[in-house]
Amino acid sequence: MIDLYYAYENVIDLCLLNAVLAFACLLLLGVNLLSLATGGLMALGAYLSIWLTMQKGWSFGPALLAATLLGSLAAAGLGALVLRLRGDYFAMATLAFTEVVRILTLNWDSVTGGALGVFGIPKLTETWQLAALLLLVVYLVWAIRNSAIGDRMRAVAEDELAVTASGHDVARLKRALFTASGAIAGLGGALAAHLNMFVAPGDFGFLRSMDAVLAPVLGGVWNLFGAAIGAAILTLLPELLRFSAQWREILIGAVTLLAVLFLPTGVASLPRRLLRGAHPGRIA
Amino acid sequence: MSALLEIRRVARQFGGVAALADVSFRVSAGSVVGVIGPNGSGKTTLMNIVSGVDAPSAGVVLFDEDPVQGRAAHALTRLGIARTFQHIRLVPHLTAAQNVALALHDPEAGLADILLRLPRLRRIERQRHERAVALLDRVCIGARAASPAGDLSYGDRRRVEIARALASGPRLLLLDEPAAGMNHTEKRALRGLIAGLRRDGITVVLVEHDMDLVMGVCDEIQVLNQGRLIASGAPRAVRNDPRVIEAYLGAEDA
Repeated sequence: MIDLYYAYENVIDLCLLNAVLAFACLLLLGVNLLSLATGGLMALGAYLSIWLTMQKGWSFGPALLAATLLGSLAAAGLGALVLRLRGDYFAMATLAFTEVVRILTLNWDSVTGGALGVFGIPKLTETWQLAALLLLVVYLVWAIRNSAIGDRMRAVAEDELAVTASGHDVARLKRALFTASGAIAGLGGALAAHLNMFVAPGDFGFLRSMDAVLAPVLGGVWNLFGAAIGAAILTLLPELLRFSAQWREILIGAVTLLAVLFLPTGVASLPRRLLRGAHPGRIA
Repeated sequence: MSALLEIRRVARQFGGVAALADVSFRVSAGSVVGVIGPNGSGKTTLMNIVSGVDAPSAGVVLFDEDPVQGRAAHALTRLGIARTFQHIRLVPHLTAAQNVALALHDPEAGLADILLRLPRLRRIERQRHERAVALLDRVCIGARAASPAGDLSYGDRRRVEIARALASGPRLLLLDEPAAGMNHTEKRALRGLIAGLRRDGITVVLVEHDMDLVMGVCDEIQVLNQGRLIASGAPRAVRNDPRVIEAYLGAEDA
């Protein structure tokens, strides 16, 4: 067991980290917001924490806190601008944000090392920290979903006007959720930066944002563990498909497409479906 | 009697089309006022403006003597203006009680209660559920409290929507075609319900096509045609007004 952990430590860490980010996106998908800002918000947290730990001599804890704060502030600001946009336009605007951040990090050499990236980052992120964060995030999402706020979120996804007419400020709810998910992304970025020795602007681009949204969709939006399962699949699949660089992207795309087409409630619904198949008379 | 709602020279343009032009009337506190008119006469536009879903191009809406035109819909609900919709807006997979609880603001759990699962959360949630069921009882469908709203009959869904509107504790209730799609029995129950709301001191503005209901329950009727107010007064007077008959049946030379 211990051997297994040491052999796959990096993959396990990545699974945990990606699951945390997936939950940040899940929170937003719950109110029909498809955000591609995850990458950009992560980058802010990552570079701030690297700068603080490597150049300002901060210890890891305060640096993580600062990254969380920056992520939430950036999301609050971005949200004030783009949350009024609908559907596709919101997704495009958040993607534009991620791109703007990427281009900034590409050109701000003194802090980010430009295209070459930053080397020799101290490895401060521990597996237990990621696991603890994942547990915390799962708990928070669970607590919110099983409350009046959760009902309100489901109602917003269904019919915003019904929620507005019930006396709730839907825009404020969305801003709060976007800010919360920004905090998680900022923290996630800082943890990601201190996971390997090296960080470059390309680490926090479109693909990163896409994976974070894809994970809950793949795993199932209405199952609490769907996001974690989806993140695990999206992290492990590329590792398993390492034998062929060309086939990797294609197979990941194909698996996702099949899952969305044939398991619209996500991979997490598979056990129950199989059970139902085995006992056709029983209603699961 | 003082006016709870006053519409003063309200106009609404959609591009070049005037959906409402120079509409003025008052709704006395405690009364039931009907707004009738042919399709496209601007009734729903007027409801949208009063409830804050839409803003007027010109004019003033006074609620309890304060101008409220252009204010956000959720803020107006909190202020005491609740509404139902012509096309029912319930969340189908939430239960009837959960739909009603959406508009309950007292008691309401805070973020700390929810995230820390404080003991009082359970108490607040129980109170909310009880209040939601009581509101459903008031519209005579308490027995369906645990049913998903999407499983209810059309008439029952209308009632859930009214219960939800009542949940916010309104002083003014806007009902947009509540009888649409209801059968005769359901309409009679609705009439009793509106009379009961009036007894409880809730002022009601009723947009409706069903003349029996409007004539039977309203103290006063406002008639809109092509965005203009063409008649107003007691049901009997309005029913016999030649302009109203013309608007509904068409003029001789039209």
